[in-house]
Amino acid sequence: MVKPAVLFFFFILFFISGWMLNSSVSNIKGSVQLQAMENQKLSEEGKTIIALKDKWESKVQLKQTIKKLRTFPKLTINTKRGSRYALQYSQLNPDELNKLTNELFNSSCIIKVYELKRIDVSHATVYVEIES
Amino acid sequence: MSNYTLFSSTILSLLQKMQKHYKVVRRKNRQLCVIGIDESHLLREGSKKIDLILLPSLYWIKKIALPVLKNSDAQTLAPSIFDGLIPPDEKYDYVAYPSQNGKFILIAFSKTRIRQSIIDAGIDPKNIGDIFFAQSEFSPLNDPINFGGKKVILVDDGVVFYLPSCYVEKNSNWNTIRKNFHSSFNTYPYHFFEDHSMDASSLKITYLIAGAIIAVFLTQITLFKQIYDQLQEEKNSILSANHLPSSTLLIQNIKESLLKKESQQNTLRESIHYLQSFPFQHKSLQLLSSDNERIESISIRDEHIDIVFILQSDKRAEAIRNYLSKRFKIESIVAKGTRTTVRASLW
Repeated sequence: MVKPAVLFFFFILFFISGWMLNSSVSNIKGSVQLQAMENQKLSEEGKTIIALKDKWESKVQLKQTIKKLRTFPKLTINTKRGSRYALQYSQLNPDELNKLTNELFNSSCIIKVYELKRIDVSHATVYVEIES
Repeated sequence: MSNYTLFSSTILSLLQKMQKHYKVVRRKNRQLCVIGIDESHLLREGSKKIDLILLPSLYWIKKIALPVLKNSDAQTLAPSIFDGLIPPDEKYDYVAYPSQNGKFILIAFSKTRIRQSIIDAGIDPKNIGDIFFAQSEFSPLNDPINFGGKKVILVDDGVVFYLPSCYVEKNSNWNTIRKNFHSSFNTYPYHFFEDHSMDASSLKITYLIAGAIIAVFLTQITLFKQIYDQLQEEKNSILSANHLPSSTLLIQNIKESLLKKESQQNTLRESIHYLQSFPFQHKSLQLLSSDNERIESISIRDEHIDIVFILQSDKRAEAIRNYLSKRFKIESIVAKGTRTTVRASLW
């Protein structure tokens, strides 16, 4: 037989324990939800960073771009200064200029210097420096 | 202040008197019954409600001098005083009444025994009003009282006894004193004699339920902890797979730096494209003849754009500035003859 006072004490004890356990469950549940959200955000940011790095910091991409630009006609200067590649094209007609510009713009290399000089109405010289 | 105290004590005593009067009036219409072991005597007929007086055969009494002032203190000491004096095979509860010369009357009673006597007397607990101990009700009486049976109530030195009538020479019949009898206010409701303790099986069920609830909580905590650990591992794998630092701030910096790089390169490309397709034929520029007007050179270096225009007149420079200012932040514009040099910042 248990007295009501003892039962009441146990009830209070049980209530407090239950409340503490419930708080613990809520806390850990909240932590889990937060962690899941953080992971999702981290995953998305990781993808964005990787995509941006692949686009702007990829050595492979840069080499491919340089390779293409070097094969482009009317290349008069082709040097490497430190971490920069310097390329100059002379006597480009409007069609060639367009092709070169498109090639340059579609690549994801980092253009540091761009200079265009018109020689006459239909010819121009283009000088570019690309950072590796 | 004293007037206030006097007033409040007067009001309090008045309220107490009113309460007592109400109880007396209420009890007047009730049946009054004395019950003992295997016996009950109806003392007064009345409404359905019954007031019960418990005869001394239902409990143990001891009169004793105690170094305490309050009934509650005496009641606390009662179990140790009765220890060894009464049969130990029953569970007892205790009450105490003040007596003469600083002494107390202690009563040890078994709730089970009293409930059983009430049931044996054929009384429905729902109909019970107040319950009294004979000790509190009959102690002021001088002569032995007979309720019509073979026993009498006898008061000796303030203690109420219930004895066979042969032990006394003369006794009064209850009917002779019933008019002057008024029950006291030392009453107990029926639920005072009920057992509020839980039996072992109910207690087991309670423990089981409590244990089950706690187990559910603990399981939840364990499960969530496991999920949390898995998510932590997942986070580490994401970081290592993407070659990211563990600090969120550093990750943000890397991302912002890359986005800035992308934005600048896009702006640079758009600017070159914009300048190479410069609309000399546009109406707002009021070009005279595109054959003689052209961009001589474009130079993008160190966040600046230098553009050299060949224009037919100086007035054309203003039109060019207006047009370019829609896209670039013009820093300077110098016109010398047909040659106009514009410097603008790229971003």
